[in-house]
Amino acid sequence: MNEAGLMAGRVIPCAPRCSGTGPRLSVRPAAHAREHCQRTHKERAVFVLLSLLSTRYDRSGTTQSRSGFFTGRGLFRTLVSCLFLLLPVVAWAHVGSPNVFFEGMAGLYPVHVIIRPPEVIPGLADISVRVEGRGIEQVTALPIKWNAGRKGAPPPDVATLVRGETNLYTAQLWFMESGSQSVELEIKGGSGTGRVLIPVDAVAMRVLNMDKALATVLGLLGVGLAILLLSVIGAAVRESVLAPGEKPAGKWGARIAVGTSATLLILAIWGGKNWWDAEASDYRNNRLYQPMSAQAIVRLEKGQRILRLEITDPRFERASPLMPDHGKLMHLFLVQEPKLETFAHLHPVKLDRKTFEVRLPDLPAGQYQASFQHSGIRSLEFT
Amino acid sequence: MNELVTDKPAHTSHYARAVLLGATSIVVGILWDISWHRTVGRDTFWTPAHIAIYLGGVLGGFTCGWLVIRTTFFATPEQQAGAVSIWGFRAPLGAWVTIWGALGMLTSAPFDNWWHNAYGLDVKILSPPHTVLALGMWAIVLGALMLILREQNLASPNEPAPGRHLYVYAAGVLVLMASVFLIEYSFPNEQRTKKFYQVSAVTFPLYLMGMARASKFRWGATWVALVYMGIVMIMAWVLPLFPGTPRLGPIYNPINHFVPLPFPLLLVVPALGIDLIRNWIGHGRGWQRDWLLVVMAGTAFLGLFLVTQWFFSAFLIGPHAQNWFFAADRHWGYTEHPGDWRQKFWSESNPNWHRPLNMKGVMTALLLSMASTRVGLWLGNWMARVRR
Repeated sequence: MNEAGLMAGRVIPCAPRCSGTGPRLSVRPAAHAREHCQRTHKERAVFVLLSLLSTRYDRSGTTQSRSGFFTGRGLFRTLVSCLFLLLPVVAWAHVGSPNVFFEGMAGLYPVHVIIRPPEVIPGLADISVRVEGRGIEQVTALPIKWNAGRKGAPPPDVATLVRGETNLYTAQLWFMESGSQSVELEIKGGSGTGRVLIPVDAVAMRVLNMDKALATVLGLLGVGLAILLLSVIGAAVRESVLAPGEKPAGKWGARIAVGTSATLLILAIWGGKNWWDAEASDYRNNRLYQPMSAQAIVRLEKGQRILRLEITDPRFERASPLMPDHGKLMHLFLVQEPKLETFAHLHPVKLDRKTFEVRLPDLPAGQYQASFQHSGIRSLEFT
Repeated sequence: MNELVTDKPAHTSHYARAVLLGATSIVVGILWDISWHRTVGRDTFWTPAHIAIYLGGVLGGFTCGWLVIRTTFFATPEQQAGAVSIWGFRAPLGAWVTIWGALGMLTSAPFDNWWHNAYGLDVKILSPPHTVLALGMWAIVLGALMLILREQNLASPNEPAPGRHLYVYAAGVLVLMASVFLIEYSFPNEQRTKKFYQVSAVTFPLYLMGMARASKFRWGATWVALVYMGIVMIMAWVLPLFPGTPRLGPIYNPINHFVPLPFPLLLVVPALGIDLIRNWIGHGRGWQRDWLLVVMAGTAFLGLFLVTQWFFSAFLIGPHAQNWFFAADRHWGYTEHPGDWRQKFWSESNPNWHRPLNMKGVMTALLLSMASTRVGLWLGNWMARVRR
C-alpha cells in the first residue's frame, strides 16, 4: 500500500459511531475492533483539540514567540492547553462502551437516543430520548425480540420526562433473553405519531465480583446463621424432649449432635460453593459474551487477494441471524500487527450462513488481526 | 377425622397461631410469586406476592422475637422451665427455629440482589440465594409446626391434644414447601424420568412418615397429603380467575390470566398406603417394628407413587385434563413456546436431558425411599416427644 493508502486507512471510521453527519446508528463493535477504535478516537480527539487551540490563538491575533508560552497569559494558556490535552484520556473511557447511540427521525420528530444495554441478561436497559419538536405528549419504548416480533412484545413502557428538562425522556426496559433485539420508540405529539426502530444487541458482558463490604456482611450473616443453627440443634437435643422443669441428664448427646451437624453443615457449604462455582462457570461459558471461533484464508485469484471467512463455531448455528448495520451484514476490521499502523474496514459478502468473502485492498504483506461481529482472528497472515 | 384421642375443642396459643398464619402467608406468597413470574414477569420489591412472603417472615420473626423476650425476662419460672435455653435466652424450640428462618430470609435478600446483578434476574428457580431464602421460609413453617407440636404433646393422654388439627395443617404446608423445591423436576411431562422418582423418593417418605408418626391421627400421613393437595388445588383454581398479562417480552405464549402451578402430585395414594401399613403393624415403638415399617412403607410409597404418577401424568398431559379442574392447559407461562412438546413426556422426546426411568433407577429410588422413611421415623419419634 502506498503512503496515501496508509493515510486513507487511518482516517477510515473504525466503527459507525465515529461517522459524521446524517442519521447515525452504532452498535457495539467486536472486541478487537474496539481496542483499535479507542486508539483512533483518542488520536482524533487530540488532533481536534490541538486544532481548536491553534484556531483560538489565531483568532486572538497574538503572535506567540516560543518563550511566550511560558510567561504571563501564555503560561496560563499553556496550562489550560495541557488540561485540555488530558480530556481525551477522560473521553477514552466512554469509547468502546456497549451503548447504542442513535440520531435520526421518529416520524416528524428528530430524536437523539442513547440505549445502555444491561450488562447481564435478563437485566434492565436504560434509555434516554431527547426529542426535538413541540407539543410532545408521550414517549414510549418497546423491546422487540427478533424471533417474537411485535406480536410477542409486552406493552410499551412510558418514558418519563427528566426533572428540570423540557425534552429529555428516560425509561428502563427489561431485556429477558440474549440476542438481537430492537427498541421501538413511539413519539406522540403535535406532529402526530412517529416511530423508529433501533437495533440493539443484548448480550451479557459483565463479570461481577462481590465487593469486600458485601462479602463481609454476607459472611458475618452466614456465620451468625451457622452458629444459631448449631445452637438450636444443641438445644433441641439437650432439652426439647424434657418435661417442663426437668434438668438435662448430660451434655454429650448434644455435643455429638452439634459436632455431627457442624460436619454436615460444612459439607453443605462446600456443596453450595461447588454449586455456585458451577453456576458461575455456566454463566462464563454459555451466557457471557465470547468471541466465536472462525477461520480465515487468503487466496490469490487473477492477481487479486480474496479473503474468505468461515465462522466455524457450533454456537453460530444456533445464534440469531446477523442483522444489517449501516446496510452491511458484516463489518471487518484488519489491523496490522504488531505496530497497528495499517488499518482497513471492509464489508465481506455472505456466501452462505457462515461463509463470507471480500476482495482485499492493496495492503502491505504481514500479519494482521481481523475482527468482525461475533469473532476475531489474531493471526491472519498474507504475503 | 378418626382420632386416637377423644374429640373435644382444642386450643392453641395465640403466638403459635400467629406464626402459623405467617407460614400460610409465606406458602401462599410463594405460589403466587411463581405464578406472577410466569404470568406478569416484571418483578419489583413490592409485588403483592412478595408482600405476602415478607408478611410471613415479619409475623413469624417478630412474634418469636417477642416470645424470646417475654419468656426470658417476663415469664414465670414455670413458663421458663418449659422452654429451651440458647445463649442465656429462653423460648420454645419452635420460636428459635422461626427466628433462624427469619434471619435466613433476611440474609438471602442482599445475596439475591447481588446474584441478579451478577448473573441476571432469576434465570432459575433454584439458585444459591433462593435456596437460602427457601430454607428460611421452610424454617418458619417448621417453627410454626414445632410450636404447635409442643402444645399438642404437652396434653395428657386422656385429654384432647390442642393443636392436633393445626399440626396436620402445618405438616401439609411443610410438604408443600418441599414440593416447591422439586418443582423443576416434577412437571407432568417430567414424571417418567429417573430424577423425578428419585428426588421424590428422597423427600416425601421422610415428611409423610415423620409427620404421621408425630401426629395424633390414625390417618396422619393421609391427612397431611390431603392438606398439601388441597392448598395446591385451591391455588390452581383461584389464580386463573384473576386477569393477568405479561409485562415482559418476548411473549411466546399469550396469556390473559394468572398461571397456576401444575396439578398437585397424588400423594394421598402412597400416604394412604403408609397409613394402612402403620395401622396394620401398630403404633407402638421399637426398633424391630420401625425397621419393618422402613422396608414395608418405603416399598409401598415408591410402588404406589410410581404407579399413580406414571399413569396420572399421562392423563395430565393429554386432552382430557385441559379443563378448569386439572388446569393442564393453563399452567404454561408466557415464556413457554406453544407446541406438541407440551403433550409429550420429555424423557421420550429428549432422553439425553431427561433420563428415562429404568430398572436401575427404580432400585435406586427404592433404596432412597427406604432411607428417607428411616430418617422420617427417627425424626417422627423425636417430634412425638417434643415438649418444649
